[in-house]
Amino acid sequence: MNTSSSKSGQVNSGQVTEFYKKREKIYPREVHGMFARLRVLGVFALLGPYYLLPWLQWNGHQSVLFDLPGRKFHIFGLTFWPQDFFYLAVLLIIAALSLFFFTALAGRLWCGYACPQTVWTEVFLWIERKVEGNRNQQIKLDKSEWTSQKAMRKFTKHAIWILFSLWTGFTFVGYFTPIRELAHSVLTFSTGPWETFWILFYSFATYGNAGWMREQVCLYMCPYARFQSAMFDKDTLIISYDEKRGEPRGPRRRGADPAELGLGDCVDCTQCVQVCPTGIDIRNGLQYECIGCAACIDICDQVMEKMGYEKGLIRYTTEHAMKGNKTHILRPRVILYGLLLLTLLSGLVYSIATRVPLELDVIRDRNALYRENGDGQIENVYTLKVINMDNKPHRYKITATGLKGLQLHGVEDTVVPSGKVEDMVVELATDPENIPAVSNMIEFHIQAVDDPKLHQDATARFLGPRKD
Amino acid sequence: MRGQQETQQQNNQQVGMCQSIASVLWPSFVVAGIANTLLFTFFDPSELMACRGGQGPSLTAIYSMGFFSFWAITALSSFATQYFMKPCDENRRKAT
Repeated sequence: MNTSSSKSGQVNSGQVTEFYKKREKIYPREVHGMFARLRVLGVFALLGPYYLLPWLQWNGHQSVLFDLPGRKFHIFGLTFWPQDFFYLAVLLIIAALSLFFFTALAGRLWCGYACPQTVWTEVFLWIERKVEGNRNQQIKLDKSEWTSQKAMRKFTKHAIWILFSLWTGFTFVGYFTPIRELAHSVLTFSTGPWETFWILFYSFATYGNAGWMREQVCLYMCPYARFQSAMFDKDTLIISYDEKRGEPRGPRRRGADPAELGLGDCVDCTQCVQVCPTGIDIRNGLQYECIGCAACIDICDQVMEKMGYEKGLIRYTTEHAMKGNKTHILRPRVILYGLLLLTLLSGLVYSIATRVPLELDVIRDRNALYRENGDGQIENVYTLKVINMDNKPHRYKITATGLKGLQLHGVEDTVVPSGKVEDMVVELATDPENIPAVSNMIEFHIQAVDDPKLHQDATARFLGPRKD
Repeated sequence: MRGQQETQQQNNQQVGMCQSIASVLWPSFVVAGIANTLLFTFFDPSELMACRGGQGPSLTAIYSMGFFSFWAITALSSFATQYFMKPCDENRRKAT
């Protein structure tokens, strides 16, 4: 490993080899314009609910609460149990499909406007600008000698970043522990050790990712950035520099005729590079580093306007359109993704809307195949597991069908508290002449006494003697 | 000329410190999260505690420790992968 204390260690035949490629800090220049406004809208539309939702009450409980110790998730009026894991799986598939769908249509919309990394970095950049000034002032400050004023500015920035991160971490834990109680315990310094830990952990992750790592998260940690090309085609909306129009690039006086100078429309002001949060030059073509934030479009349009040129030297376009061909919005890939998405979404909504918050599992007694009771009947023993996934307790009536004269002994009804599993042992019996085969299918039915909609069925086997 | 080419090649192969650390800690973090979710979806730690009897650690503590145990194991695997990906011919050549 590294032998010397400096980052550049090993000396190899007179050459100093850097062990790690050095990261150059990127100072994205502030940009205004339509896409910048969209991104700010994204920040408010996403972070607003994130910070506010846990404070909202719903029917006497927190509107969104992932109660891990209680093993249930409250999302407004719905309660989900571990048995509902299926929904989570479907939800994840839907999320993945939406990503495919929107990427195929419009490129990296997610990265540019909705990814938490973008959204939180946007807030951190805003704080940084408020404290340290604009891009040039920030570069100057970082290059300058350490003075008390510089220290003060850096301290203020990090203090605000940390406070904001702590609030973020606190809110995150507030989704898992009732946030009002959590706020009380934070104010009285009595949070539990794990709550404290997770608040600090998530705060640290926010501070590190949005304050320090920034574009490196997109470049090195994001799998989507690496496989996005698989979802792209020649009709996908990408941010592109119009090379034909822009080249040859070069500076010129305002009002000068570019045709006379033999120049294209690009004035080579490098503003598009300065605003780029990942520090790339969009004029080099589509790169995997481009998160599709469109900051370069905003700034270039402003420059074009000042120069009196047509806007859109850098613009949202498609590979086909750039080559002068027609762009096809509806194409097999988009239609397929869209149909799949629609099917899954409507399936999920239907399934949740018609969900019966009751489950019945039947386990046959394994000790005996069957037994004969005092009345000469053949008897099978079962353990029933009744899971009440509703928000209130219910009394359930149990019946069984499938064989003639089938009688249920043992418990016939049971009260199950909300969110609990009740085990009960029941016996089914019938006369031997009613049993046609060695193994017979029967069905248990469970019905809530107070709610006709709450019912569930489960099949089981009833074993009888061999008939010779 | 050849020396220059080699330096160029080395530069291209170099990864940043951040990428190096992230490529161990990040995928393992995600996989540990998935593993922990799956484990505790199908297995309720309070049932085991009921069998054992007595006062055990809180459920939050069990979930958290489960996550960090997974993370430690998955990070170890990621680190080993990264370690074995290093070109060994290059190192041997340098050593001699």
